[in-house]
Amino acid sequence: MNNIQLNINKECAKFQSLSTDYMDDALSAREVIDVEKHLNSCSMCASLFHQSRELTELLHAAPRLDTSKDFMNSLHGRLDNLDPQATSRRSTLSVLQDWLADFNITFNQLRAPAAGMGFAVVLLTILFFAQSNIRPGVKHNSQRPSSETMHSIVSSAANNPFADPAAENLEGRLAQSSGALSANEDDDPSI
Amino acid sequence: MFALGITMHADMALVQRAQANDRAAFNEIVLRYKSKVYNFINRMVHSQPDAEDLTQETFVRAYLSIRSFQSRASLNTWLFRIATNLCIDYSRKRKKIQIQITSLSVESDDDEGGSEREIPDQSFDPQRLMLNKELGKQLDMALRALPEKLRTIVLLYDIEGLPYDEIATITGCPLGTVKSRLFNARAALRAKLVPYLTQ
Repeated sequence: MNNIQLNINKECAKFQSLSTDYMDDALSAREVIDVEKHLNSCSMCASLFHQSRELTELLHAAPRLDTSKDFMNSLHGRLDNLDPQATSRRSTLSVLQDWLADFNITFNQLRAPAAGMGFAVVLLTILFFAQSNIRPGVKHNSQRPSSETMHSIVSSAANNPFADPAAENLEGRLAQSSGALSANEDDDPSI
Repeated sequence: MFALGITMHADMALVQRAQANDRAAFNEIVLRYKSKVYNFINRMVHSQPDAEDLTQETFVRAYLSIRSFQSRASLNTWLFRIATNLCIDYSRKRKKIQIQITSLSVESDDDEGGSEREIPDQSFDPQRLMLNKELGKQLDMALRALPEKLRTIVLLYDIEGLPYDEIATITGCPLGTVKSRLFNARAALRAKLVPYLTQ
């Protein structure tokens, strides 16, 4: 008998924990079956449930009150008399919060175009450095040699890396001057 | 649900205009919510003049802090949170100065020339309303006798029809606590109104 009473109490406690959700149609199908099964078997819980339902219907139907006719005029009078600085004076924290909120809004709005611009900048930077690496040692001045001159210099250097037109001119001058000196030495009978 | 979405969208449009110092938009917000807020506050503080003053204070505070409203919660939730906090502050002050206004509030309910107007519920049978007038009065008294925390929950849920998650946001309580308090509040009301209930 005690076990039966204990089970009934446990069932009643379980029902009471579910009764609010049952009234709000917030239970699963399985829970609804369990609740309705208990309601059919327990007159006490059934009575409490019907009282609760009648109570909630009364609360839902409670008369609704409204403000007086002068409410809006009085409210706007209070708003008009607000200290102008009060509407703009805010604590440092609220100013910071507003700034962060505005920043988030702006960031979200400009996120896509900003990302596109960033990508374009990165791409241009890569292209710029890539082009610089193709022509090493090229001096960037306003007076660049012509393409034919560049081509001849490159081709001569490629054929004979030791060939130096300026050096060849110098050798020629040296040969001419040494030949002149030898002629002068041969003419001197004393040597 | 669709209508709720439309309402929230319209509210957000009004909020954005009010944040841009559009007074007409804020006026529209007040017209939409003043009855609900006043109805709630009046049942919390049991004093018509104080309820109207607190309702105005709710919207003054909303006006001053509208720029910090970030649409994380609905406008309804935000306004009720302000109103709930004002009611809590009001009851603390009242306890401090120990003003006995319960009897005065009961007498003022019988006044025929009161400043407040009842909005008739068009969906309810007037004859049934008359028959339940005494029951309604007893219900009002039973609500006033509830502890403040329980009364807040039952007013927000059963009278204002707010969902559990909004009530949890308004009161700063977990969802389980909201449900538990609602259960206890209904049990307390039921215990006081047993002689008047049919079952």
